[in-house]
Amino acid sequence: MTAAGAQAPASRGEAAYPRAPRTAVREGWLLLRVAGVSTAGRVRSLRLVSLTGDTLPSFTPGSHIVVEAGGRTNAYSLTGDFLEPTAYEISVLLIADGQGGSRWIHDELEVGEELSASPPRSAFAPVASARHHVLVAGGIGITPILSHVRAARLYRRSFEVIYAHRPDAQAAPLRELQALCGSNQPELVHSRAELTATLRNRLSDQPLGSVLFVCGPRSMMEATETIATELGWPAERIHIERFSTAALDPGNPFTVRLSRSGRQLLIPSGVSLLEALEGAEVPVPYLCRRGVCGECRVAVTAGRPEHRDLFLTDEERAAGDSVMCCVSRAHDPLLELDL
Amino acid sequence: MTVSADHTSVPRWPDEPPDVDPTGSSYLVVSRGDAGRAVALGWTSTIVSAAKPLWTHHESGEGPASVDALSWHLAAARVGTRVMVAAPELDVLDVLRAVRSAGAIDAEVRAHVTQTGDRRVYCPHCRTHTVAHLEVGDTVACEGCRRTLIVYHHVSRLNGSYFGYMVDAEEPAA
Repeated sequence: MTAAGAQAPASRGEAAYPRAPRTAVREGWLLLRVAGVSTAGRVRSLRLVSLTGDTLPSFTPGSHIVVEAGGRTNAYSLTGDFLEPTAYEISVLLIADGQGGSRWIHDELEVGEELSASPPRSAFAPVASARHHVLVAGGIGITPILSHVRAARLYRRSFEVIYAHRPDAQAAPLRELQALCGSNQPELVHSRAELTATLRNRLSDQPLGSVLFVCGPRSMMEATETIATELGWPAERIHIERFSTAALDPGNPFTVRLSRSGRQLLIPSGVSLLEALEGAEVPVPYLCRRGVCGECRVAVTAGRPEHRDLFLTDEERAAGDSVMCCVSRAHDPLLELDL
Repeated sequence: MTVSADHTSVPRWPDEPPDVDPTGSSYLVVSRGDAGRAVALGWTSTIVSAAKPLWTHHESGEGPASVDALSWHLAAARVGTRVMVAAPELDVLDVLRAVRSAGAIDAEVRAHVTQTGDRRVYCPHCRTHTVAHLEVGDTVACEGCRRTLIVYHHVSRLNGSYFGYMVDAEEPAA
Protein backbone atom coordinates (compact mmCIF):
# COMPACT_ATOMS: atom_id res chain seq x y z
CA MET A 1 0.00 0.00 0.00
CA THR A 2 1.39 3.33 -1.02
CA ALA A 3 1.19 6.51 0.97
CA ALA A 4 -0.71 8.18 -1.85
CA GLY A 5 -3.43 5.53 -1.79
CA ALA A 6 -4.12 6.03 1.92
CA GLN A 7 -4.93 9.71 1.58
CA ALA A 8 -8.56 10.51 2.29
CA PRO A 9 -10.30 12.81 -0.16
CA ALA A 10 -10.89 16.28 1.25
CA SER A 11 -14.55 16.57 2.12
CA ARG A 12 -16.26 19.73 1.02
CA GLY A 13 -17.38 22.33 3.50
CA GLU A 14 -14.79 21.52 6.15
CA ALA A 15 -13.24 24.91 5.80
CA ALA A 16 -16.53 26.80 6.00
CA TYR A 17 -18.04 25.09 9.03
CA PRO A 18 -16.39 23.80 12.19
CA ARG A 19 -17.13 20.09 12.50
CA ALA A 20 -17.16 18.29 15.83
CA PRO A 21 -14.43 15.67 16.05
CA ARG A 22 -15.88 12.17 15.78
CA THR A 23 -14.49 11.03 19.11
CA ALA A 24 -16.15 13.84 21.08
CA VAL A 25 -19.55 12.26 21.65
CA ARG A 26 -20.98 13.54 24.90
CA GLU A 27 -21.55 11.05 27.66
CA GLY A 28 -24.89 9.35 27.18
CA TRP A 29 -25.35 10.72 23.67
CA LEU A 30 -25.88 8.67 20.55
CA LEU A 31 -23.75 8.53 17.46
CA LEU A 32 -26.10 8.20 14.49
CA ARG A 33 -25.59 7.71 10.78
CA VAL A 34 -27.56 9.60 8.17
CA ALA A 35 -29.35 6.82 6.27
CA GLY A 36 -31.62 8.95 4.15
CA VAL A 37 -32.16 12.55 3.16
CA SER A 38 -35.01 14.15 1.27
CA THR A 39 -35.59 17.81 0.63
CA ALA A 40 -38.88 19.48 -0.26
CA GLY A 41 -38.76 23.24 -0.49
CA ARG A 42 -37.14 24.64 2.66
CA VAL A 43 -37.63 21.44 4.67
CA ARG A 44 -35.01 18.71 4.72
CA SER A 45 -36.00 15.41 6.32
CA LEU A 46 -33.36 13.13 7.78
CA ARG A 47 -33.49 9.46 8.60
CA LEU A 48 -30.94 8.67 11.31
CA VAL A 49 -29.96 5.10 12.23
CA SER A 50 -27.66 3.49 14.77
CA LEU A 51 -24.14 2.53 13.62
CA THR A 52 -24.76 -1.09 14.61
CA GLY A 53 -28.09 -1.50 12.83
CA ASP A 54 -29.89 -2.09 16.14
CA THR A 55 -33.17 -0.42 16.97
CA LEU A 56 -32.90 2.92 18.73
CA PRO A 57 -34.33 3.74 22.18
CA SER A 58 -38.11 4.09 22.19
CA PHE A 59 -39.46 7.50 23.05
CA THR A 60 -42.59 9.25 24.26
CA PRO A 61 -44.57 10.83 21.41
CA GLY A 62 -43.80 14.55 21.17
CA SER A 63 -40.14 14.02 22.15
CA HIS A 64 -37.20 15.79 20.52
CA ILE A 65 -33.51 15.11 20.14
CA VAL A 66 -30.74 17.67 20.38
CA VAL A 67 -28.45 17.38 17.36
CA GLU A 68 -24.92 18.68 16.97
CA ALA A 69 -25.10 20.45 13.64
CA GLY A 70 -22.18 22.42 12.31
CA GLY A 71 -20.94 23.48 15.73
CA ARG A 72 -24.43 24.31 17.00
CA THR A 73 -26.80 22.22 19.10
CA ASN A 74 -30.36 22.33 17.77
CA ALA A 75 -33.49 20.58 19.02
CA TYR A 76 -35.68 18.74 16.50
CA SER A 77 -38.90 16.84 17.13
CA LEU A 78 -38.98 13.16 16.27
CA THR A 79 -41.70 12.52 13.69
CA GLY A 80 -41.46 8.77 13.12
CA ASP A 81 -42.30 5.55 14.97
CA PHE A 82 -41.73 5.79 18.70
CA LEU A 83 -41.69 2.12 19.75
CA GLU A 84 -38.30 0.47 19.16
CA PRO A 85 -37.73 2.59 16.07
CA THR A 86 -35.28 1.44 13.41
CA ALA A 87 -34.58 5.12 12.69
CA TYR A 88 -35.10 8.57 14.16
CA GLU A 89 -36.77 10.91 11.68
CA ILE A 90 -36.46 14.68 11.92
CA SER A 91 -37.52 17.49 9.59
CA VAL A 92 -35.34 20.58 9.50
CA LEU A 93 -36.60 23.94 8.26
CA LEU A 94 -33.87 26.02 6.63
CA ILE A 95 -33.38 29.25 8.58
CA ALA A 96 -31.15 31.13 6.16
CA ASP A 97 -30.31 33.94 8.59
CA GLY A 98 -30.18 31.74 11.72
CA GLN A 99 -27.16 30.61 13.72
CA GLY A 100 -26.07 28.15 11.03
CA GLY A 101 -27.26 24.79 12.39
CA SER A 102 -30.09 24.29 9.89
CA ARG A 103 -27.93 25.68 7.06
CA TRP A 104 -25.27 23.09 7.84
CA ILE A 105 -27.86 20.29 7.78
CA HIS A 106 -29.22 21.55 4.46
CA ASP A 107 -25.94 22.38 2.71
CA GLU A 108 -23.29 20.13 4.20
CA LEU A 109 -24.72 16.97 5.68
CA GLU A 110 -24.79 13.97 3.36
CA VAL A 111 -26.02 10.38 3.46
CA GLY A 112 -23.54 8.10 5.21
CA GLU A 113 -22.16 10.79 7.51
CA GLU A 114 -22.35 10.50 11.27
CA LEU A 115 -23.65 13.01 13.75
CA SER A 116 -24.13 12.99 17.48
CA ALA A 117 -27.48 13.49 19.12
CA SER A 118 -28.91 13.43 22.61
CA PRO A 119 -31.23 10.59 23.57
CA PRO A 120 -34.89 11.58 23.06
CA ARG A 121 -36.17 14.10 25.59
CA SER A 122 -39.87 14.29 26.38
CA ALA A 123 -41.41 17.69 27.15
CA PHE A 124 -44.61 17.55 25.09
CA ALA A 125 -46.17 14.20 25.96
CA PRO A 126 -49.78 13.22 25.23
CA VAL A 127 -52.10 12.89 28.24
CA ALA A 128 -53.14 9.25 28.42
CA SER A 129 -56.17 10.02 30.59
CA ALA A 130 -57.51 12.84 28.39
CA ARG A 131 -60.89 12.38 26.77
CA HIS A 132 -59.87 14.18 23.56
CA HIS A 133 -56.69 15.72 22.11
CA VAL A 134 -56.90 18.98 20.16
CA LEU A 135 -53.63 19.25 18.22
CA VAL A 136 -52.83 22.66 16.74
CA ALA A 137 -49.78 23.17 14.53
CA GLY A 138 -48.37 26.03 12.50
CA GLY A 139 -45.74 25.65 9.76
CA ILE A 140 -42.83 23.41 10.71
CA GLY A 141 -44.44 23.08 14.16
CA ILE A 142 -46.26 20.12 12.63
CA THR A 143 -43.30 17.84 13.49
CA PRO A 144 -44.17 16.88 17.11
CA ILE A 145 -47.85 16.75 16.16
CA LEU A 146 -47.06 13.99 13.61
CA SER A 147 -45.87 11.77 16.42
CA HIS A 148 -48.92 12.69 18.52
CA VAL A 149 -51.18 11.62 15.65
CA ARG A 150 -49.26 8.33 15.35
CA ALA A 151 -49.82 7.69 19.07
CA ALA A 152 -53.49 8.66 18.92
CA ARG A 153 -54.08 6.27 16.01
CA LEU A 154 -52.11 3.44 17.63
CA TYR A 155 -53.89 3.73 20.98
CA ARG A 156 -57.25 4.67 19.42
CA ARG A 157 -57.42 7.97 21.25
CA SER A 158 -59.85 10.66 20.23
CA PHE A 159 -58.08 13.56 18.48
CA GLU A 160 -58.40 16.33 15.93
CA VAL A 161 -55.74 18.36 14.11
CA ILE A 162 -55.89 22.01 13.09
CA TYR A 163 -52.96 22.86 10.83
CA ALA A 164 -52.07 26.40 9.77
CA HIS A 165 -49.61 26.59 6.89
CA ARG A 166 -48.87 28.50 3.72
CA PRO A 167 -50.37 26.62 0.77
CA ASP A 168 -46.98 26.22 -0.91
CA ALA A 169 -44.89 25.36 2.16
CA GLN A 170 -44.46 22.16 4.21
CA ALA A 171 -45.81 20.00 1.38
CA ALA A 172 -43.99 16.87 2.56
CA PRO A 173 -45.00 17.01 6.26
CA LEU A 174 -48.55 17.84 5.14
CA ARG A 175 -48.70 14.72 2.96
CA GLU A 176 -47.41 12.65 5.89
CA LEU A 177 -49.99 14.23 8.20
CA GLN A 178 -52.85 13.51 5.82
CA ALA A 179 -51.70 9.92 5.40
CA LEU A 180 -51.41 9.41 9.17
CA CYS A 181 -54.80 10.97 9.94
CA GLY A 182 -56.72 8.48 7.79
CA SER A 183 -60.44 9.14 7.93
CA ASN A 184 -59.96 11.84 10.61
CA GLN A 185 -58.48 14.47 8.25
CA PRO A 186 -56.87 17.66 9.60
CA GLU A 187 -58.60 21.00 9.35
CA LEU A 188 -56.30 23.11 7.15
CA VAL A 189 -56.20 26.89 7.52
CA HIS A 190 -54.12 29.32 5.49
CA SER A 191 -54.30 32.67 7.26
CA ARG A 192 -54.23 34.15 10.74
CA ALA A 193 -57.89 35.20 10.45
CA GLU A 194 -58.92 31.72 9.36
CA LEU A 195 -56.97 30.17 12.23
CA THR A 196 -58.55 32.52 14.78
CA ALA A 197 -62.07 31.74 13.52
CA THR A 198 -61.40 27.99 13.52
CA LEU A 199 -59.90 28.04 17.02
CA ARG A 200 -62.80 30.10 18.42
CA ASN A 201 -65.20 27.60 16.95
CA ARG A 202 -63.42 24.39 17.94
CA LEU A 203 -62.13 25.41 21.38
CA SER A 204 -65.58 26.54 22.51
CA ASP A 205 -67.02 23.07 21.98
CA GLN A 206 -64.73 20.36 23.36
CA PRO A 207 -65.78 17.76 25.93
CA LEU A 208 -64.66 18.29 29.52
CA GLY A 209 -61.43 16.32 29.84
CA SER A 210 -59.94 17.53 26.53
CA VAL A 211 -56.36 18.77 26.27
CA LEU A 212 -54.83 21.24 23.84
CA PHE A 213 -51.36 20.86 22.29
CA VAL A 214 -49.86 23.72 20.29
CA CYS A 215 -46.63 23.92 18.32
CA GLY A 216 -45.72 26.60 15.81
CA PRO A 217 -44.40 30.13 15.54
CA ARG A 218 -44.29 31.96 18.86
CA SER A 219 -46.97 34.52 17.95
CA MET A 220 -49.29 31.78 16.75
CA MET A 221 -48.84 29.80 19.99
CA GLU A 222 -49.51 32.90 22.08
CA ALA A 223 -52.63 33.73 20.06
CA THR A 224 -53.92 30.17 20.51
CA GLU A 225 -53.24 30.29 24.24
CA THR A 226 -55.10 33.61 24.50
CA ILE A 227 -58.17 32.29 22.67
CA ALA A 228 -58.23 29.12 24.79
CA THR A 229 -57.92 31.12 28.01
CA GLU A 230 -60.74 33.46 26.95
CA LEU A 231 -62.93 30.41 26.35
CA GLY A 232 -62.28 29.17 29.89
CA TRP A 233 -59.51 26.61 29.29
CA PRO A 234 -57.42 26.34 32.47
CA ALA A 235 -53.64 26.55 31.95
CA GLU A 236 -53.27 22.91 33.03
CA ARG A 237 -55.07 21.81 29.86
CA ILE A 238 -52.87 23.82 27.50
CA HIS A 239 -49.54 22.35 26.38
CA ILE A 240 -47.18 24.60 24.45
CA GLU A 241 -44.02 23.39 22.68
CA ARG A 242 -41.44 26.17 22.74
CA PHE A 243 -38.28 25.88 20.71
CA SER A 244 -37.57 29.51 19.96
CA THR A 245 -37.12 32.34 22.38
CA ALA A 246 -37.44 36.01 21.58
CA ALA A 247 -34.20 37.93 21.29
CA LEU A 248 -33.30 39.01 24.80
CA ASP A 249 -31.98 42.42 25.73
CA PRO A 250 -28.33 42.50 26.81
CA GLY A 251 -29.28 43.14 30.46
CA ASN A 252 -27.53 44.99 33.24
CA PRO A 253 -24.07 44.06 34.52
CA PHE A 254 -23.88 42.22 37.83
CA THR A 255 -21.41 40.30 39.95
CA VAL A 256 -21.48 36.59 40.70
CA ARG A 257 -19.88 35.01 43.72
CA LEU A 258 -19.14 31.29 43.54
CA SER A 259 -19.80 30.09 47.07
CA ARG A 260 -17.61 26.97 46.93
CA SER A 261 -14.46 28.65 45.65
CA GLY A 262 -15.15 32.18 46.86
CA ARG A 263 -14.34 33.52 43.38
CA GLN A 264 -16.12 36.58 42.04
CA LEU A 265 -16.92 37.23 38.38
CA LEU A 266 -18.24 40.39 36.78
CA ILE A 267 -20.93 39.66 34.17
CA PRO A 268 -20.97 42.59 31.73
CA SER A 269 -24.04 43.65 29.79
CA GLY A 270 -24.40 41.51 26.65
CA VAL A 271 -22.49 38.53 28.10
CA SER A 272 -24.53 35.64 29.47
CA LEU A 273 -23.86 34.12 32.86
CA LEU A 274 -23.06 30.82 31.15
CA GLU A 275 -20.52 32.47 28.83
CA ALA A 276 -18.85 34.17 31.79
CA LEU A 277 -18.66 30.88 33.71
CA GLU A 278 -17.17 29.17 30.67
CA GLY A 279 -14.68 31.99 30.32
CA ALA A 280 -13.63 31.43 33.93
CA GLU A 281 -13.36 27.68 33.23
CA VAL A 282 -16.16 26.78 35.63
CA PRO A 283 -17.84 23.79 33.95
CA VAL A 284 -21.63 23.94 33.73
CA PRO A 285 -23.66 21.44 31.71
CA TYR A 286 -25.71 23.01 28.93
CA LEU A 287 -27.58 22.11 25.78
CA CYS A 288 -29.84 24.63 24.12
CA ARG A 289 -28.28 27.91 25.36
CA ARG A 290 -31.63 29.64 25.04
CA GLY A 291 -33.55 28.92 28.21
CA VAL A 292 -35.62 26.01 26.96
CA CYS A 293 -34.03 22.71 27.91
CA GLY A 294 -33.29 23.04 31.62
CA GLU A 295 -29.81 21.54 31.40
CA CYS A 296 -27.84 24.53 32.76
CA ARG A 297 -29.82 24.97 35.99
CA VAL A 298 -27.60 26.27 38.78
CA ALA A 299 -28.50 26.62 42.48
CA VAL A 300 -28.69 30.18 43.84
CA THR A 301 -27.63 30.74 47.44
CA ALA A 302 -28.07 34.53 47.68
CA GLY A 303 -29.43 37.40 45.59
CA ARG A 304 -32.58 37.58 43.45
CA PRO A 305 -32.35 36.01 39.98
CA GLU A 306 -33.94 37.73 36.97
CA HIS A 307 -35.54 34.74 35.27
CA ARG A 308 -35.63 34.97 31.47
CA ASP A 309 -36.02 31.28 30.64
CA LEU A 310 -39.03 29.24 29.54
CA PHE A 311 -38.15 26.21 31.66
CA LEU A 312 -38.85 26.98 35.33
CA THR A 313 -42.41 26.87 36.67
CA ASP A 314 -43.95 29.92 38.32
CA GLU A 315 -43.38 28.36 41.76
CA GLU A 316 -39.73 27.67 40.97
CA ARG A 317 -39.28 31.26 39.78
CA ALA A 318 -40.86 32.60 42.95
CA ALA A 319 -38.63 30.36 45.09
CA GLY A 320 -35.61 32.03 43.47
CA ASP A 321 -33.26 29.22 44.50
CA SER A 322 -32.15 28.25 41.02
CA VAL A 323 -31.42 29.94 37.73
CA MET A 324 -30.96 28.92 34.10
CA CYS A 325 -27.58 30.48 33.56
CA CYS A 326 -27.73 30.55 29.74
CA VAL A 327 -30.28 33.39 29.59
CA SER A 328 -31.12 34.58 33.09
CA ARG A 329 -29.41 37.37 35.00
CA ALA A 330 -29.77 39.08 38.40
CA HIS A 331 -32.04 41.75 39.87
CA ASP A 332 -29.51 42.39 42.62
CA PRO A 333 -25.96 43.65 42.03
CA LEU A 334 -24.62 40.41 43.54
CA LEU A 335 -25.80 36.86 42.88
CA GLU A 336 -24.27 33.96 44.77
CA LEU A 337 -24.23 30.54 43.10
CA ASP A 338 -23.61 27.10 44.56
CA LEU A 339 -20.60 26.47 42.31
CA MET B 1 -54.75 10.02 65.90
CA THR B 2 -52.24 12.77 65.13
CA VAL B 3 -50.43 12.73 61.86
CA SER B 4 -48.37 15.30 60.00
CA ALA B 5 -50.28 17.20 57.34
CA ASP B 6 -47.64 16.13 54.83
CA HIS B 7 -48.39 12.46 55.36
CA THR B 8 -52.14 12.23 54.98
CA SER B 9 -54.62 12.47 52.17
CA VAL B 10 -57.37 13.59 54.56
CA PRO B 11 -58.63 16.85 53.02
CA ARG B 12 -58.15 20.03 55.04
CA TRP B 13 -61.06 22.21 54.02
CA PRO B 14 -60.66 25.97 54.32
CA ASP B 15 -63.02 27.71 56.77
CA GLU B 16 -64.16 30.33 54.26
CA PRO B 17 -65.96 29.46 51.01
CA PRO B 18 -63.75 29.90 47.93
CA ASP B 19 -64.51 32.69 45.44
CA VAL B 20 -65.99 32.03 42.03
CA ASP B 21 -63.25 31.39 39.44
CA PRO B 22 -63.82 34.30 37.02
CA THR B 23 -62.05 32.51 34.14
CA GLY B 24 -64.81 29.93 33.65
CA SER B 25 -67.14 30.11 30.66
CA SER B 26 -70.05 28.30 32.37
CA TYR B 27 -70.79 26.97 35.83
CA LEU B 28 -72.44 24.04 37.60
CA VAL B 29 -73.31 24.81 41.24
CA VAL B 30 -74.46 22.08 43.62
CA SER B 31 -75.46 22.50 47.26
CA ARG B 32 -77.04 20.62 50.15
CA GLY B 33 -78.55 21.89 53.40
CA ASP B 34 -79.24 25.43 54.57
CA ALA B 35 -75.57 26.31 55.07
CA GLY B 36 -74.76 25.00 51.60
CA ARG B 37 -77.62 26.93 50.06
CA ALA B 38 -76.42 30.20 51.60
CA VAL B 39 -72.94 29.74 50.13
CA ALA B 40 -74.30 28.66 46.75
CA LEU B 41 -76.54 31.74 46.57
CA GLY B 42 -73.50 33.95 47.01
CA TRP B 43 -71.74 32.16 44.15
CA THR B 44 -74.74 32.20 41.83
CA SER B 45 -75.30 35.93 42.26
CA THR B 46 -71.66 36.54 41.27
CA ILE B 47 -72.04 34.28 38.23
CA VAL B 48 -75.34 35.84 37.17
CA SER B 49 -73.92 39.35 37.38
CA ALA B 50 -71.03 38.21 35.15
CA ALA B 51 -73.70 37.05 32.66
CA LYS B 52 -72.24 33.53 32.40
CA PRO B 53 -74.30 30.37 31.79
CA LEU B 54 -75.24 28.67 35.03
CA TRP B 55 -76.94 25.45 36.18
CA THR B 56 -77.74 25.00 39.85
CA HIS B 57 -79.06 22.16 41.91
CA HIS B 58 -80.01 22.19 45.59
CA GLU B 59 -80.91 19.27 47.86
CA SER B 60 -82.45 19.59 51.28
CA GLY B 61 -82.78 15.91 52.15
CA GLU B 62 -80.42 12.96 52.38
CA GLY B 63 -79.21 10.63 49.65
CA PRO B 64 -77.21 10.67 46.46
CA ALA B 65 -79.67 12.71 44.36
CA SER B 66 -77.31 15.67 43.91
CA VAL B 67 -74.66 13.53 42.22
CA ASP B 68 -77.23 11.82 40.01
CA ALA B 69 -78.54 15.18 38.83
CA LEU B 70 -75.03 16.51 38.26
CA SER B 71 -73.81 13.46 36.34
CA TRP B 72 -76.18 14.10 33.49
CA HIS B 73 -74.82 17.63 33.07
CA LEU B 74 -71.20 16.52 33.48
CA ALA B 75 -71.55 14.05 30.63
CA ALA B 76 -72.42 16.92 28.29
CA ALA B 77 -70.06 19.52 29.84
CA ARG B 78 -67.53 21.34 27.66
CA VAL B 79 -64.04 22.58 28.53
CA GLY B 80 -64.53 25.96 30.20
CA THR B 81 -67.05 24.58 32.71
CA ARG B 82 -66.38 25.16 36.39
CA VAL B 83 -68.02 23.08 39.12
CA MET B 84 -68.73 24.48 42.59
CA VAL B 85 -70.14 22.51 45.51
CA ALA B 86 -71.19 23.58 49.01
CA ALA B 87 -72.37 20.70 51.17
CA PRO B 88 -71.42 18.36 54.03
CA GLU B 89 -68.13 16.53 53.47
CA LEU B 90 -69.71 13.26 52.42
CA ASP B 91 -71.59 14.98 49.58
CA VAL B 92 -68.58 17.07 48.60
CA LEU B 93 -66.43 13.93 48.26
CA ASP B 94 -69.16 12.31 46.15
CA VAL B 95 -69.40 15.35 43.89
CA LEU B 96 -65.61 15.59 43.52
CA ARG B 97 -65.49 11.91 42.60
CA ALA B 98 -68.15 12.34 39.91
CA VAL B 99 -66.56 15.50 38.56
CA ARG B 100 -63.10 13.95 38.30
CA SER B 101 -64.39 10.82 36.62
CA ALA B 102 -66.08 13.09 34.07
CA GLY B 103 -62.61 14.44 33.19
CA ALA B 104 -62.45 17.63 35.26
CA ILE B 105 -59.15 18.59 36.87
CA ASP B 106 -58.64 20.25 40.25
CA ALA B 107 -58.31 23.70 38.65
CA GLU B 108 -61.93 23.41 37.45
CA VAL B 109 -63.52 22.51 40.80
CA ARG B 110 -64.06 24.51 43.98
CA ALA B 111 -65.64 23.09 47.11
CA HIS B 112 -66.88 24.31 50.46
CA VAL B 113 -67.56 21.83 53.26
CA THR B 114 -70.36 23.00 55.54
CA GLN B 115 -69.95 20.22 58.11
CA THR B 116 -67.96 17.08 58.76
CA GLY B 117 -69.02 14.11 60.82
CA ASP B 118 -70.60 11.52 58.56
CA ARG B 119 -67.82 9.56 56.91
CA ARG B 120 -67.75 6.68 54.48
CA VAL B 121 -65.26 3.96 55.38
CA TYR B 122 -63.99 1.40 52.90
CA CYS B 123 -63.40 -2.15 54.10
CA PRO B 124 -60.57 -3.75 52.10
CA HIS B 125 -61.48 -7.17 53.50
CA CYS B 126 -64.98 -7.38 51.96
CA ARG B 127 -64.99 -4.19 49.83
CA THR B 128 -68.11 -2.79 51.46
CA HIS B 129 -68.53 0.90 52.28
CA THR B 130 -69.96 1.79 55.70
CA VAL B 131 -71.33 5.28 56.42
CA ALA B 132 -71.46 6.44 60.04
CA HIS B 133 -70.78 9.43 62.25
CA LEU B 134 -67.05 8.93 62.77
CA GLU B 135 -63.75 10.69 63.41
CA VAL B 136 -60.40 9.57 62.05
CA GLY B 137 -59.07 7.01 64.56
CA ASP B 138 -62.54 5.74 65.59
CA THR B 139 -63.57 2.15 65.10
CA VAL B 140 -66.73 0.95 63.39
CA ALA B 141 -68.30 -2.43 62.61
CA CYS B 142 -68.19 -3.04 58.85
CA GLU B 143 -71.69 -3.36 57.45
CA GLY B 144 -70.53 -6.09 55.09
CA CYS B 145 -68.48 -8.46 57.26
CA ARG B 146 -68.84 -7.10 60.83
CA ARG B 147 -65.06 -6.82 61.20
CA THR B 148 -63.98 -3.98 63.50
CA LEU B 149 -62.45 -1.33 61.23
CA ILE B 150 -60.30 1.57 62.33
CA VAL B 151 -60.83 4.77 60.32
CA TYR B 152 -57.37 5.47 58.90
CA HIS B 153 -56.04 8.91 57.85
CA HIS B 154 -56.25 8.16 54.15
CA VAL B 155 -59.01 9.35 51.83
CA SER B 156 -59.48 7.90 48.36
CA ARG B 157 -60.18 10.50 45.69
CA LEU B 158 -61.41 7.69 43.48
CA ASN B 159 -64.30 6.57 45.66
CA GLY B 160 -64.58 9.41 48.18
CA SER B 161 -64.11 7.23 51.23
CA TYR B 162 -61.82 6.87 54.21
CA PHE B 163 -59.66 3.79 54.30
CA GLY B 164 -60.38 1.30 57.05
CA TYR B 165 -58.73 -1.90 58.14
CA MET B 166 -59.38 -4.63 60.69
CA VAL B 167 -57.87 -3.33 63.88
CA ASP B 168 -58.09 -6.48 66.04
CA ALA B 169 -56.81 -9.06 63.56
CA GLU B 170 -54.01 -10.14 65.92
CA GLU B 171 -56.29 -10.74 68.88
CA PRO B 172 -57.67 -14.20 69.59
CA ALA B 173 -61.34 -14.60 68.77
CA ALA B 174 -63.62 -14.27 71.76
